[in-house]
Amino acid sequence: MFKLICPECNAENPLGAEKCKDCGTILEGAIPEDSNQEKGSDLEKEDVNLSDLLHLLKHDEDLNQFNEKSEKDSVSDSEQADIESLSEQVEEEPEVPEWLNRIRQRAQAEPDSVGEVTQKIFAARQSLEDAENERQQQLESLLQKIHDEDEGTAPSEDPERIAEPDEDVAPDTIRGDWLRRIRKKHRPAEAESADEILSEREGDSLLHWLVALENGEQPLEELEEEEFSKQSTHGEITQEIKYIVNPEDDTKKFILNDVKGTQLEAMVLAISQEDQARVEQLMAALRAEKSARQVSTRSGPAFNRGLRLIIALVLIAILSLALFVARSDARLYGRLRPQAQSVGEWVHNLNDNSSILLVMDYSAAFSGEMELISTPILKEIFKTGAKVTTLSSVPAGRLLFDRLIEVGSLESRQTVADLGYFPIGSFGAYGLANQITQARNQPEFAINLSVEPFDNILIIGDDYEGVMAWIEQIHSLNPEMPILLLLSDQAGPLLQPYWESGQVQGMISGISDSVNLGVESNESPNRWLAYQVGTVLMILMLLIGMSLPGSRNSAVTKGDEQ
Amino acid sequence: MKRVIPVLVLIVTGLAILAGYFFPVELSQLNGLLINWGILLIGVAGLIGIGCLLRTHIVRVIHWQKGALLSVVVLVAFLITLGMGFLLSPQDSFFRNWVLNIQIPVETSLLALLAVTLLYGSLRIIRIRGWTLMSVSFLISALISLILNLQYLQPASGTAGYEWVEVIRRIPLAGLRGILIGVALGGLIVGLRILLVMDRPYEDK
Repeated sequence: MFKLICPECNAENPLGAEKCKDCGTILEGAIPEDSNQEKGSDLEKEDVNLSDLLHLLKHDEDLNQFNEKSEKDSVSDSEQADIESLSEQVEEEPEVPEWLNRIRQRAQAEPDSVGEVTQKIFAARQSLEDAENERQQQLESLLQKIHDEDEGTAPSEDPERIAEPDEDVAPDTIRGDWLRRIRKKHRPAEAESADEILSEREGDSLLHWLVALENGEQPLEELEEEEFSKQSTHGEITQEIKYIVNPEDDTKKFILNDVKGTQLEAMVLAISQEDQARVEQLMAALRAEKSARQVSTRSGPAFNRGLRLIIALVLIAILSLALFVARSDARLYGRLRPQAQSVGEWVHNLNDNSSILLVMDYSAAFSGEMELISTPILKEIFKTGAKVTTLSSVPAGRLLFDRLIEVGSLESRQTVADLGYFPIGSFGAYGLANQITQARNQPEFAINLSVEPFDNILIIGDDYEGVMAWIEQIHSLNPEMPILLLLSDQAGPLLQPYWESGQVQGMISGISDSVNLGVESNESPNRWLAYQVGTVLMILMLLIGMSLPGSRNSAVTKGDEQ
Repeated sequence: MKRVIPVLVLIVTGLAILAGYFFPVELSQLNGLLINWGILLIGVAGLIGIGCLLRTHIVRVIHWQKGALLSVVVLVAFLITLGMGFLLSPQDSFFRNWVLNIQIPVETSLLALLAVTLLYGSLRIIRIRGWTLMSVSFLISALISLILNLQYLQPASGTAGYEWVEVIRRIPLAGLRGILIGVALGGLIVGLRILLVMDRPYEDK
């Protein structure tokens, strides 16, 4: 519907109006415009409802599918009527804008207007149809060749003639001929005569041959194995293999040609040197798998296992005897090391005013060794009446300290304060040293501490890392604080540099230092003798293991193989 | 902001603790507060770890997956120890013996196995590598160390034997000092990299 648009206020006025109904402007010279176009342009300007557009497009696509189906399959009249009514409905839908209809019309009228993707799809469909036609032609030519061979045509006939059907014979005739022959085989009623049926069926059906054999019509022939094997090797599918070695890329090519019965193109099978090596390896593995094996009659593993069991039992027996045979009054002789001597002097100089922090930093696995080392020292400390406070940097530290007290029968000697468990030793050490600093410099803050500042710190440890953290943290913040160590035999050598640098006042490492200090308990001789026996056994095992040439050579080869 | 705040907390805390070594008196209260916070957080992390461990074993028992029987043992032992720890104090002799009489044999047995494994491993060095300079020197030093630890060789002080034994005893100290210096340098570099935000171990990467 055409309307006049006011040039001043853009108001719509009916055709023939002289003045604008809104502003009163004279409409003389105004060009009438179509209101539908105006709506379409408004729709473009507005925010388009995408879901409606997609719905319309889908509807349009469904309509096209319906139309195609109706053309190809010739649907019934009722369905056709439904489709037409649907298309009419779609055409009558007021939601379809005019610009969309124009685009659709243009797309139907001009093939160039179709998008690039659509053009590619069309091209792909076309190529697929071409490929299908070509395959159909190849199949027809193949069937034609089979037909010619069945009729006794010369195999030496020109292959081009086989490949290309005779120009005189129409393709429909060829197709009809092979189709008719197949139908004769499977539908005898369509055959022209019974002889034709038999001639067509002769020799091509195993069932037919078996039936003839059963009825005695077919003579039973003896099998010729050699001929059969020859036929099977040179059989119906004969292969002509050309073996080409390309010296440049070391690639071997096998060309398979002339497979009888088909017109396959020459296939080129490329095998690289690596593939060839893999095949050879696989073949070697298969040959080794199939080859006869000798039954293993070696009793080596069982013998070795028995020997190891006997050696283990002997070692356990010797160690057990060493634990119980030693006399409890036996004296152990050794040289007292200066770091251990410093611990002895420190213990003798303690008095009842001394305050000692005892840090428990060893695990339960070392409790036997640590009890032997630290119980005599604790006895000496408790004799002096010094105040003892404990702090643990291992979860079971408090339990281990109570066990120390119980082993040394020190329950009634002293009341011991417990500072609890610090999850990380370095945190505990830093916090403790920081507290001591606070207490020394701010006396009013000292009342918040659970204990008074300590005079000495005694660390019982089995691991050099934890003890090292304690030494470094405390010594960096309180260099005057005396630190003494009671260590296991394995941690002592690693922490000896701290004693040599003066950060540690004294240290005892292992049972040997403890007994040399003259503070051994009743169990020390037994444990010490067992320790010595175990060490001697280790030395012997090392020497024996080093001097076994046979085992060494075999192990070397095994290790090289690995 | 999500990445800036952890970095700021890290740098401020690290620098405050570092400055505490140079100004121990002035920064003692601040550092004490930070240390207490750190210990508290570690304790909470331990509780979270226990919770995760329990959840893993409970799920394994519920679905009866592989190792479910061992998970049952773990859960039962945990619940018994926890209950006894709440009912009895750690100073109680029964509770102490209950824990240590299980823990000490188990850990000692593992330690003994470790010793035997180390001995066998030292033998394997010769059996696999053969007579090389490294393997021979390793085994000879191990033998000398074991023989010296027996304390049967006790030469009189002032003699040449005494001096030789002392020299041999001090040889491992050179290696030990090297190890300690390497550990200290490694710790210093790691600390600096974290302070300079070159490493961010607190991020899930």
